[in-house]
Amino acid sequence: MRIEVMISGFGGQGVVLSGAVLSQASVLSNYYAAATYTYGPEARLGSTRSEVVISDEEIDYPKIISPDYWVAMNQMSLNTFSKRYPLDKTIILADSSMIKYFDPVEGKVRVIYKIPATDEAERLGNRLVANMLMLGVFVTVSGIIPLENLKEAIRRMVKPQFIDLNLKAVDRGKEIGESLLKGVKV
Amino acid sequence: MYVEPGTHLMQGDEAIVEGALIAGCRFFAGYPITPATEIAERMSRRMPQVGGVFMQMEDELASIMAIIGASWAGRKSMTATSGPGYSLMQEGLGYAIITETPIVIVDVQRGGPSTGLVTLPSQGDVMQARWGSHGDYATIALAPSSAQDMFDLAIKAFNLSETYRNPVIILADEVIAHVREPVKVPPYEEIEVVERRRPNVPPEDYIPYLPDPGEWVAPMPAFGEGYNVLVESVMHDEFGHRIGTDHVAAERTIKRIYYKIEKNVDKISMYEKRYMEDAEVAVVAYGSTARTALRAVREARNQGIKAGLIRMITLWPFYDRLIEETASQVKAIIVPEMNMGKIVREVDRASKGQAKVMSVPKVGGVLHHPDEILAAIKSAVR
Repeated sequence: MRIEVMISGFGGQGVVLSGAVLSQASVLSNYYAAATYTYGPEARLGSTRSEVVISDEEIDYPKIISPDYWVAMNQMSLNTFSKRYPLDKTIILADSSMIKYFDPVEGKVRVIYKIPATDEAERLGNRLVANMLMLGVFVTVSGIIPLENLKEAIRRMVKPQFIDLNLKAVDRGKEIGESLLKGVKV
Repeated sequence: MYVEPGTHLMQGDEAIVEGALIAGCRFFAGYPITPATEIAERMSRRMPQVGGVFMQMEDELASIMAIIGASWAGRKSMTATSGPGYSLMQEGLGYAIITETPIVIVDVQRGGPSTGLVTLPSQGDVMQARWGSHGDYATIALAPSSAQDMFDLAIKAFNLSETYRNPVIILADEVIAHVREPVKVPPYEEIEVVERRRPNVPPEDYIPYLPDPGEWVAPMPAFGEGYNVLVESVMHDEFGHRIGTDHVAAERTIKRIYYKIEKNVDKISMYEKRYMEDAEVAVVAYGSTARTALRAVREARNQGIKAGLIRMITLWPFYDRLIEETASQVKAIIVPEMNMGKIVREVDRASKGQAKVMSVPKVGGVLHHPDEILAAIKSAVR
């Protein structure tokens, strides 16, 4: 088993942190995991990407060959990476608060789940937890990592004052993920 | 005090710090630079916890001189940087070589030349690690391929530098520095830690650069212990006296610091063989590229091609015998590198015409795609 998860967005959306948290949750679930990151020299708004490979055996190539899951957090990254990878097996989890045009991936991928993650996060009190909300959706839709392990990873890696809010976002993500699996539009 | 035995999820830059601390590193001086910054960051937190000292320096020239000084004060010392900083360190590196000062330097390679691609990986400094400082010398450079290697090789690097009284360079790259993956920390008693040999004669009988019979390097005292050593960059004889024109003594000194490394290549060299038993094509790779190469080799095997991997962990001194033996076994050797083709020249030289040697260069700041290496394997067996 080798599952490749790409998380893309811009600097400031917590793309690197969510890659780190996902790798921790995977290891807590007794998988091997390797998380790598690509970002530019900018502190904010530059193109940012996490590549997380989850496997039941030791991981050789640590980068993505063809994503099984792609958490897309902004329009620019959706446009850019739609051209770079084979996507026929890919399930996209897209932040539809940030992405309005799906033409670059429409018809090319297995499924596109549209989740207004940033708006939902804002309703919870802080748009910055959209990343963890998306991880909540991811673990629910993929079913490969128990939700509790994701929460434990957050407790270990997120600054103490933000843990509760992040856990709330994960719970909301789980609800959304369950609706999506039932075919309910969110 | 140390990271507990067991499995931990760590970034490569974090793992190398924990390995260094267990190896006995108690002084770190550095100047932050992507993608090595996390090493300084973690050192700044961890050093005080183990009774060591962290110093942020004004630049990389000062960083390397500070760790040389600390090493002569008896502390195992380390710095970490990336290409631009490593270039600045070349003068200090030569100083450490001629004074036979054990230090560990981490170069997390990023794309160059110059400031270059600050956040992206490269293997462009592999020749600089061998030849970067002027004059004749030999050096030890290790290339980690995983966060686990960052931990393990930090310990090996200190052990080698203490054994041979020479700088040891850990040639990481951005991917390995930043990758977050499980790292196994063995029980402490299973970890071998080497200490430098100290003089066992009274100060008046001590000859600072004269190895004991059968040894390559002299025991090393620390400043303040009463032993008089002139630690100086001008050429010296066995007594540490400056020799401006004594070419006979100079030749002795240069040959010893060269051969103490090159004649011990069998002991210093570490490598890993995968799928090599019946291989007809070998991929010789190092660092993060070795992981891509392993993927390509497995893919080739799936397609019925007898491919194997030689992962070079020690890059310098170069292990000619390993390559010569490999070349006698296979038809072709593929050398993928994140540069325009550097170690491939050594591989070609050491294979002595017994196998076809092919370079698979990659520049721009990205790992090879496994298919690029697979394509080279396929073209080699065609």
